[in-house]
Amino acid sequence: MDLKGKVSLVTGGAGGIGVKICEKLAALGSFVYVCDIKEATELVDRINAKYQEPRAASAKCDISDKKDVEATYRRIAEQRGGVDILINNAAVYGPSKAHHFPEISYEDFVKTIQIDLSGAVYCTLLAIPYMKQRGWGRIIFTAAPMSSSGIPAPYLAGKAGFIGLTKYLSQKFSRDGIRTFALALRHVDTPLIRKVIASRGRDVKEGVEAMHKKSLTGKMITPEEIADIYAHFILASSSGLSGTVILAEGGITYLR
Amino acid sequence: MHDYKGKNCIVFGANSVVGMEISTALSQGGANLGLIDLDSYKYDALVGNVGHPGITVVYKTVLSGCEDSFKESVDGVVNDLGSVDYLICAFYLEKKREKQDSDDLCVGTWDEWLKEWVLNYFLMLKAVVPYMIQRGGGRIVFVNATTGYTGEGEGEGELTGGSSVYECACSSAITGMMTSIARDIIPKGISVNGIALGPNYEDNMERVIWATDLWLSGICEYACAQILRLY
Repeated sequence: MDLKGKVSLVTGGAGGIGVKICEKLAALGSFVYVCDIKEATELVDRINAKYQEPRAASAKCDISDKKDVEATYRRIAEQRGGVDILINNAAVYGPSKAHHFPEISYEDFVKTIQIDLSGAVYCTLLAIPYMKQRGWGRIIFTAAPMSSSGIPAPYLAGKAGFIGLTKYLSQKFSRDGIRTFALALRHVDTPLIRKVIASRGRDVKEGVEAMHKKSLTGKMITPEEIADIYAHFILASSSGLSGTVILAEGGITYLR
Repeated sequence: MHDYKGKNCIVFGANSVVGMEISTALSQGGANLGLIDLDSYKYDALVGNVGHPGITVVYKTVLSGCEDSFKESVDGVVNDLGSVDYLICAFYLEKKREKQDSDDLCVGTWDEWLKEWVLNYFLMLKAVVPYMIQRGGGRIVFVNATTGYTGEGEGEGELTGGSSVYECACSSAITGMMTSIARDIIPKGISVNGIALGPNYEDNMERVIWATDLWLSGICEYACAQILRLY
């Protein structure tokens, strides 16, 4: 099976994991909208240069702004009908200043959760009617284990929120051909993880090495490996497979 | 219930079914109460239940999503009671469910749920926790729903319209938020634990009271970010 004729929207598509997901979906034949806060011209050009027909377009959008999300969906509907595959991958490791409660400001909390959770909710709610109409859809959330430690409250609130969403959507819409999954990730070797290490005042190289060692497999997961997992779930033919939350974290989470 | 004589407890969402039951039980246990709720709700139904001799009850209102309003109300309660030992965060799940069409997929509705449940809990903790830190400890109990874990509506294995996409997302987001906050403040002597309301929770309130007592009594003093799922 391939994804020819399917339209994908990947939020955070220009980031570490997002880039690899976009490339993977395009390689499988899908037309991919690279959704990010900035234009993803370079990535779009790189993907399109590989194939005879266009397989990617930039969808610049601030997903924390529902009007912007609605406008993006209207554009996609006009150009390609709608979204068949939605990858809710965008997130900021907020807040920008204090990371611990009660120092986290309300303003920072709201700003972060608007991107990390509300953005995904907006994209999901707007995607479902078209998927229902087509009788086929895939929605995947880039989540995190609920028991993750040392993660700021608004970031973990957003990631944990995906678990409830995944469970509900699968029960509500599986009969409409819409399947939902969440991948609870930790220790993925991305530019974001380096920013997090730096934000904690640690040496980035040493921090990354420590994270490789901490993983029970001896190495952090790569974005390419993550993209393969996403593709595997999107392509899965079993109608019984939905509402699944998969931990992809190298075995470091003790409490699940 | 254990003996809570002399303890000061803020109950946020005091007029919800859960808030009322917990307030009543704590007042019977001797706790002084700071009852805080959204401005659109009244305390008439609660007054008769919590007015026991020897305990102090203070009523305040807050504006949803307004940080200054939350701070002002909590400051007022602490001013009247002297300190705060416990915080209960309850929510009007029954009222929200009544109004919610489970087929609704509206981005505006999501914004309301997020503000009323997740953001208001955050604001209440922001206002209360500094007082607990100041006095060297405290206990916080929050309420969410089992639907955040199962995705199901009321009734075993069925989607009967009791739940919604908003409820499930908010409930599991609260688990994440409280887990992170619990780990941040347990070194300061403050415990944060939860109660996930199951199907038909309004008919099983004794279990909610039992769970509240478990978290507030100190029996599980070292529990951090644990949630009792009351299926």
